[in-house]
Amino acid sequence: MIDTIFDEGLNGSTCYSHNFGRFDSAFVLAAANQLFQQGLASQSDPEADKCVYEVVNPLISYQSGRSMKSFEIRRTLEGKETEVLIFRDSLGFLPGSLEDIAGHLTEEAKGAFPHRFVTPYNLDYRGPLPSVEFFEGAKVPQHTGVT
Amino acid sequence: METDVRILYKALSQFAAVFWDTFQIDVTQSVTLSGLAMRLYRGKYLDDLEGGDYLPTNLPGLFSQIRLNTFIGGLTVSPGGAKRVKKAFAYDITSMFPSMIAQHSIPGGRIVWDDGMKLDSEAFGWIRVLGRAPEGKLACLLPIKPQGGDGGTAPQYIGSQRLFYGLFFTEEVKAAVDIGYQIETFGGLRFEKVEVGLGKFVRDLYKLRQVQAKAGNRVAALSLKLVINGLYGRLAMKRFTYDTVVLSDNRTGVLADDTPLIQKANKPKNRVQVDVSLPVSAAVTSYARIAMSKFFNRTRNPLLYSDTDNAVITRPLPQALFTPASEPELGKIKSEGT
Repeated sequence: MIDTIFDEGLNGSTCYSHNFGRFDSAFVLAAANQLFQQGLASQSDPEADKCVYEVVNPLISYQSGRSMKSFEIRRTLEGKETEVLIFRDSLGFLPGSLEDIAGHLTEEAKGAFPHRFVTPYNLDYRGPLPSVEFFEGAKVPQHTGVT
Repeated sequence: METDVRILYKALSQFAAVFWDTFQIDVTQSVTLSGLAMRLYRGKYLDDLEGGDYLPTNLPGLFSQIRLNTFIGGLTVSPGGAKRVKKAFAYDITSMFPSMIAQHSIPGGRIVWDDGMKLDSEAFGWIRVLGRAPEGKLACLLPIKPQGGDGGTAPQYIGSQRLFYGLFFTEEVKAAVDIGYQIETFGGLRFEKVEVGLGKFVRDLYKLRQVQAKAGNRVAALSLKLVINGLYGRLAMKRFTYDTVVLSDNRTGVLADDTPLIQKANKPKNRVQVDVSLPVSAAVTSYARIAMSKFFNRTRNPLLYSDTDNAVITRPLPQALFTPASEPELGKIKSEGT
């Protein structure tokens, strides 16, 4: 995913995710680590493009538990050209849940997701919409049409 | 998922557009609202050219006394003797802390310790006081932190007739004397009243917030409110930052092995942080307590409850003293209902 963003010509872009610090950052770091390992492997391969990925300028908040506020992934091509992608937690600007934010935008309503339905064994699930009890309890009343 | 991404994109775009269109500030250069507030303030409002007014930043010994003694936020007051009432009247002060910045003198400039400092009209800064709270009144000024209470133990008001000793903001001591506190002074830190753009920052952003709210841009209006509030908090930050180190050498499977990829080394950086000025924040909380004290000890209108910016009293205030909830004005008392 990260290399795709770079390849799309989005060098210098800032990518925001809501609650990035406590959720998405773990996945992005895992992906960055994978690319980092590939980069190391490419160093000994004479045929491979020399492409090095690093995580730089991390910013961690220690208020109310640890949370990754921001970091950058830097890609260096052939030891020369350097590109960077910045990852940030939009909670830093927009406190509150995405649902609340949607409420403030008035014309949009946040979608519902059956978080309780998901297990490691059904990530590829295709089938009827899960029943209402699999959706977050607090959000059930507004999704009563879901069965 | 698509909807969520669209919502976030819309909200962030709306937020970013306000700051770009109005101040030509790119919000992506900041990580938090308080950081953005400071960048906006320093870039557009603070004239820190040599010779201009300035904010004090680096006097750790003196500042730690201020932090210990008087940097206390709003406290809850719930008088024990309050009677049960059928009807009560709630008020709050609109945007309390920012409005205190906008309305009152800011302590800064050259700071001098004055052994002979008295509580006269010239006195402005922090003054060392031995005092006694008045009898038979709600003594809700000059709160103290119990020993070792820098965040650890809850601060408290002094209480009727109790003796107290400490370094307090002069304006709060003056207000305390006005309601019957008895004091003796033992020198103090003289500050200058400075014009450092903080008031203009608050007034401009508050006006912008009202414009956005009227235009129906509720996300932008809410974010502006948080930016206005963020500057005050940012000025009170403790003078150290964390160092974060990324382990980027060849340690395969660092995540899979549950070994931290990122470690912290939380040693204080020994450098001046020019974006911190505790006296401003300490003065603001003092001004806020003075503002709230107007609700206490009112004749035939007992206080039922009060906190940082809210008060519940027994009888209504005269109409001329407050605005309706639908028409809030910066720093004005607003009716919150009955």
